[in-house]
Amino acid sequence: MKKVVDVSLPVGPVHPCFKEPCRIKCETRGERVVTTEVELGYVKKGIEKIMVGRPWQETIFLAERVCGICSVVHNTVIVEALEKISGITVPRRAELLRLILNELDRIQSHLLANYSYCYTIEHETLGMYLLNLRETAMDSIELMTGTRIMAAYVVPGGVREDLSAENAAAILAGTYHMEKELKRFVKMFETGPMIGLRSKGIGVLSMQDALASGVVGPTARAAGLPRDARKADPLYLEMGWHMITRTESDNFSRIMLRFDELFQSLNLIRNAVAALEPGKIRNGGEMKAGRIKHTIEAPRGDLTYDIEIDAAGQVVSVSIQTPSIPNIEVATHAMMKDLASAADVTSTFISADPCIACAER
Amino acid sequence: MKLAYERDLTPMKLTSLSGVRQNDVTIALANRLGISRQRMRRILIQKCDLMTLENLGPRYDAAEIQARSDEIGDALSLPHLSTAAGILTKERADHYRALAGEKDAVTADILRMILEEIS
Repeated sequence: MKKVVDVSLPVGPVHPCFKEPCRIKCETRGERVVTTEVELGYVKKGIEKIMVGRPWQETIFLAERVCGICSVVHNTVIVEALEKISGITVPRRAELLRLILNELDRIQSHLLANYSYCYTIEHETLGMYLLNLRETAMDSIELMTGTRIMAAYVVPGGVREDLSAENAAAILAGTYHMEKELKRFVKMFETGPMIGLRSKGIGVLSMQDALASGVVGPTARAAGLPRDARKADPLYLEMGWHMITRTESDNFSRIMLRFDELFQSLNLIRNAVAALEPGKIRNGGEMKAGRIKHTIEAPRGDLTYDIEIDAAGQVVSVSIQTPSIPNIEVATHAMMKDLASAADVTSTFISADPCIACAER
Repeated sequence: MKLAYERDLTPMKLTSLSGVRQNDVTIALANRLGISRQRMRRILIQKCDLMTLENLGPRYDAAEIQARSDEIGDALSLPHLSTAAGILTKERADHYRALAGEKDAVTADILRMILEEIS
């Protein structure tokens, strides 16, 4: 990084506010942060390269290992891509079960993101409440899949396990519990004067920067950009999904948008459970050669797999475009540009919900 | 001034650029400028930071949308070099756009000037 100003301030790679290692290099002038640069490369996995030459069956498990927080969505997107290449259909019950699991995954991811933000601005009480509530979502995921993460629940043609009526009832009860608690926590966040001081008008992302960077997910929607891959999914529309956006585009709006989306996810789960009818959970099929670019909405935004399979069922090439890449990039070059205080660097960065594991796929 | 915590990111940047999406964009940019992929890689590694290289794909897509309504910019790859890669400032892009608007302007000459500036 070219040094142009008073002091170069390194934040990280190991920092109490970061879940994963990354280094933010800040160029400061007095208390003001003029520019920042994010340096990755501490946990690069090279999963794209590892996948090449391997049979498609192995890629399903490898994809999950891109990210521990949103392993469900990586599992879903690669399986859906393989299904589309081969023309394999999925029974309706399995589609609904996938939707339920993905929304539970979104809930736990959003709660973790908002916990991280509260922790970063030193509102640890609310942070711990949110982290405690996340356990309800994690328990529901465990009820469905048998494990908390990396369940390989989504398989070509359907899902691995059915959901019993007893477990469906427990998941429904969990959604009501989360809704009741969330209302209280959202009020705490929305009306907290110190939270407002640390969050409102800080880390503003302009529309011009948002458009130029290809920012996705809650970070884009909080800037007023209606970008959500679920809008093209008929099942989501049938379950009552609608686009949620905000316009303030600051740290506060990004956290509030995630809270708004949590309520929507809870409703989607309830509607999907109500729509469940007895039936098959898996169809058969044969894997074929081909190439496809498939996108679905991960908790952090558009997750795209561009994958090519040969006739022997081996991966020829794969590109994983995770939402954290544009989100971290825009946080670095736009949101953290010209910040009033060095103390806002970590909170602004965390407000974009950066996943280093996803970026270092 | 050499700072104690600085490290050479060239190998990491090259790893980023060898990704499928990043490689496609590097080739597309090289073709636009009429240079080899290796030379384009060198320019990108020297001029861009790590996150810009990682996010080259979405940024290139955004530049393509911008170029659709900017015929001169598209011919000179200005959105691709400024919006996508960030290796040409907006002011310099406007300067080259103004040059292209002049009488007797030759696109190939301006492209050569742009290439000299970013190299």
